[in-house]
Amino acid sequence: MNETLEQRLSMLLDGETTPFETKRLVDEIHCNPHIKALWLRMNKQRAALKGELIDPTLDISASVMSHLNSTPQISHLNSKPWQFSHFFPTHYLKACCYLLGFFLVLSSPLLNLKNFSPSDSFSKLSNPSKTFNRNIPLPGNEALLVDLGSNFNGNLKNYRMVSENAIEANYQLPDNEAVKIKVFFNDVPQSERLNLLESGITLHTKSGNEPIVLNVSSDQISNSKLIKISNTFFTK
Amino acid sequence: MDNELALIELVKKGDKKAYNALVLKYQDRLVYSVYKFLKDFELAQDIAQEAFIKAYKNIEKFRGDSQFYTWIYRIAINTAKNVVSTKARKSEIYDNDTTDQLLSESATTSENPENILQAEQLRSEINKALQNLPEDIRVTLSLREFDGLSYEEIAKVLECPIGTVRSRIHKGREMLDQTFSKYDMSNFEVRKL
Repeated sequence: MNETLEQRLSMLLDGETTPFETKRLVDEIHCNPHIKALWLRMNKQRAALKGELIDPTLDISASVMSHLNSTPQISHLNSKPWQFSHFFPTHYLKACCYLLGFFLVLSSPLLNLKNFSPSDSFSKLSNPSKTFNRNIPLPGNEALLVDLGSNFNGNLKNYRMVSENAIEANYQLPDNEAVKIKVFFNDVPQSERLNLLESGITLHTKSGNEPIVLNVSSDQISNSKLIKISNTFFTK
Repeated sequence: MDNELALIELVKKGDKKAYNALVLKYQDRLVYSVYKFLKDFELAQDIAQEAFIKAYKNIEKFRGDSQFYTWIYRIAINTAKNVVSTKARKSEIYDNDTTDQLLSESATTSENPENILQAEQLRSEINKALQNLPEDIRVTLSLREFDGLSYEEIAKVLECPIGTVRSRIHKGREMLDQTFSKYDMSNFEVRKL
């Protein structure tokens, strides 16, 4: 990269920098008053060009940041958006589980439901009840999987229970590449560990307060892209 | 398409420096938009500030389906509407049409034409400077700023390497910055905050 710092700032203004470069420039803007002034001027210049400059001396950034710094750290900012507990508060989730269980027990003779065990075949999103598992409420699982995908713009295509404590989900990326994520709700079984080592990137993280293990793999995308995707799941 | 997702991702991870960079990027545009709505500059600043704070607190809800600016603009305009409604309620003249009445009244009465003229002066200087840029630089910069094309799209349109696009845009901005810097800001009796 032969670009000067000014040129890279110009690229940042246009959203043309890589995430790595963005981080570096953000640090530069923060630490170097000269660079900060240049960034401010570049933005004012753009506003002037577009007829949106109302006051050349306007700068509300200091007051916004001082307000943000004076308020307590917002806890959810440090957790990922797909965390289970955000969507299903525990008390609500428990009530739903009881109601669902009660309903199924009552309705099973009517609906002729003989087998609640995990299915081996991939479920369709339109018919999620095929993979019902008593231990893991399915609607919660599906929301979790959809939100996992939203971290990297992945559309959930299908998923299946691979064991009592694990789900395998397939996603499609915007450019039609496929990514597979295995979610283990407890630790990874010993028998599975070696397979996972060979098949992708394994992360230990949390869903709400519960530890989960994610294995991200794909036979279509590069390792660096796979690493980028897996980085989106890290919680601080 | 302008893509600041990398900045947003940093903010979501709790990087306030990245958010500061975003505030610096959008503050003029947001204040201007709210000002157009309310025609009250100080109130527009307060509302823009509040919108930035609300956006930060809710940043995890931003999924990147739209531009960040579109999202924060919506927050700011909703905040502005709430402020106007509250004002209406407080003055005890609230009825179904009061919010609209207040908005249209403020839109026609409360601005000082002198300040508009001063800000317009600088806008006009910058546009003159843009017209005086060498043609290849002016066209490239215009495609970026006014048509919102990405570097890759500009390279395709102009049939030149992306590196050329990058350097022309940067050079154009540098040349405009000379005008911007030379222009004596003290000429402006801009409204002090």
